[in-house]
Amino acid sequence: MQLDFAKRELTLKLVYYGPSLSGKTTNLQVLYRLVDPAVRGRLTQLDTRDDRTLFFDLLPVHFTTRSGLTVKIKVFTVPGQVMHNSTRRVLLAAVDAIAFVADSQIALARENAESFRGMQDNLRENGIDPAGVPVVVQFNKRDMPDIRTDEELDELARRSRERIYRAVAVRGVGVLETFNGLLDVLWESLESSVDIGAKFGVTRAEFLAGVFRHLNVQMPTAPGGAS
Amino acid sequence: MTAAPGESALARRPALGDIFDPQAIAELCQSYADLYGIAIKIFDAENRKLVDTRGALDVCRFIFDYHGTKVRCTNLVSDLKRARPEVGQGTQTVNCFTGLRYRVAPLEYEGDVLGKVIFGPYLPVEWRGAPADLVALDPGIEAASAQVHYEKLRRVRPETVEKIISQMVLVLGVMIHTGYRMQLTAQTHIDSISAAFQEQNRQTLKLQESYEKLKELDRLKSNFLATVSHELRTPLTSVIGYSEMLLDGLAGDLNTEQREYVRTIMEKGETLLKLITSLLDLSRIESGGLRLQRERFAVGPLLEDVVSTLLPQAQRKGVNLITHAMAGLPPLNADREKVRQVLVNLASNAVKFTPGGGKVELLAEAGTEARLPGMSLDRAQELFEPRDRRVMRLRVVDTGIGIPRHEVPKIFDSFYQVDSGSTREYGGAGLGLSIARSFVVAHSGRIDVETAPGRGSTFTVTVPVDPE
Repeated sequence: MQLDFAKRELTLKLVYYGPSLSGKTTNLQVLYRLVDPAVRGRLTQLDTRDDRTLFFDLLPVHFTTRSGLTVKIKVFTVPGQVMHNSTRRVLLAAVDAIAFVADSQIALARENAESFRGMQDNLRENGIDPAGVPVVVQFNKRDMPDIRTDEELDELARRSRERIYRAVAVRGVGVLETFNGLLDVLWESLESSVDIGAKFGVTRAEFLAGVFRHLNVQMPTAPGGAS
Repeated sequence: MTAAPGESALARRPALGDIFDPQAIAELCQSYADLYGIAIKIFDAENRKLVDTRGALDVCRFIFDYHGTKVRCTNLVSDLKRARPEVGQGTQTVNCFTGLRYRVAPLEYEGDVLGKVIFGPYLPVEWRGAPADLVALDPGIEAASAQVHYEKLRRVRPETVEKIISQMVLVLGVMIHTGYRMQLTAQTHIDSISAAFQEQNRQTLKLQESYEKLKELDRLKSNFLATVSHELRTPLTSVIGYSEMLLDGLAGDLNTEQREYVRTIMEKGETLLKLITSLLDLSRIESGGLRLQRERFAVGPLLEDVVSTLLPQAQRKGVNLITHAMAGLPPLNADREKVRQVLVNLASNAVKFTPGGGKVELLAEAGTEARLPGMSLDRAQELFEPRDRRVMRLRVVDTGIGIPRHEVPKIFDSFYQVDSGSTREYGGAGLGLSIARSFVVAHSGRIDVETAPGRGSTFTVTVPVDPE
């Protein structure tokens, strides 16, 4: 987070993390299509010829609140392939909130866990306490066979600290809900860390709507939980 | 929050000067300026000029010759330079007192103004001539000469100007995006490599530390072995010596039972001494104190010597001990005692692990092999050193129990025993092969093992005939 009091400008960094091929870039591409062209920047994709993320994808979103606070949100995805760990670490520096995109397939449970552990290690390497960073978890690829069951995810949502979302990102399902949830946990953390609401005269609703201002979709009213 | 090296690049607002190639952007702007006859200037967010296509109009040069108008002109130009367009403000019009016009367009990217483009001056199409009040600004200006300059000016329609500006801003926008993307890519790449490098350095340092610690421990162990072995050997020599004297009857006659006991004391003492000597050898090898005393000797008699040493042990077990040295073997230039010890070690192992009725053969043959097998030679070696070296192969072939395949790589480790259970059938401290290998390696040689569990083993010692 970068807060420029003089310019009343808040720059935030969100990162989509997760194992290789879990659908991080797909999430970002769907968001890009959904976010109002007036507030989004160009989607920067740095990928290889076979569409594997090489360094990162970057979706910038910026808007100004009624109170005159300019909010710039930079949404990054990390490259999932194991060999790119140092890039992932660099990208996690000064992160404000994380969406962890997991693959729902049972066979990939270990990859999910390893990636999550790697994320925690990388946060620590950046001097960030993993417990202090808001994280939402998206179980993607719900349309695949042999996946973690809905009951399991319900149970997980009940007892886990992180909010759990379900998605079929290639069809756009659940992408918005996850992003909305991510912004929501980000808001909560900004409230407790910089008291954003009182200091800058911004409300939660205005903050969330800032991104989706002209969004032509049904916005989830109550973010959070395995809905 | 801690900022990693990469964070600065990712969070920093892009700077036009870093993104644009100065030569390329100047050429692009010049081509636009030539095409439309309008000068173009680009400034970055800090108002540093990046591009100036120049080409002042005649009318500008004209008014610059008069003090009154020169001052106005200079003021206007500095105002233009200082202007900081805001996000979303759009293109601004700045009118010059001469009737000429400038348009100032912000260069925006992701909600930031990175700089501005100034188009102009140009004469709007509706202007016919010099403004009436121009002459009032300086008494020296003549209306007629000013008019001459205005007649020559090209007039530009507002919609044409808008088109030029929007196209130019679009092109520059694409260039900014592409350039920024490249910049981020490069910076992230550098940061990732730097992070990986730091990680590797940390690991290397850790390894280095444990290596140093291990080396120190190893040194301590060798020292300890040397000291202890020495302290043990001295009193043991007396034990053996006095037993020998007793047996020789120097202290009077012994009865059969006493002789038996003393002989046992002496035999066990000798076994112990052998073990201690091995330990000493090992510690000497490990502390790097191994010295070869080379001499030229025939291998045949050496094999005979080894066989005669082991004959009693072989006969007790009923193992047939055979030696065969190829005819015409060259003499070996090596440390005879060390080579002998290697062969005694290998052959005594062979006898130990060969059941009665089996046989152990000691064979010697000469041959050649590529120098430094498995290693690539450098250019100098290839050019100047003979490719092959003469070697002596000394084989100990037995028909014993063999060695399980997975144990083979470990048998040369100090204190290693294939059968290390508490009830193991074969004695020994597990030092023989380790020492044997060290001696062979000191001769620039090697020991190879072929083995078939249940059928026997062949240990081949290959040493160069001449020292290297």
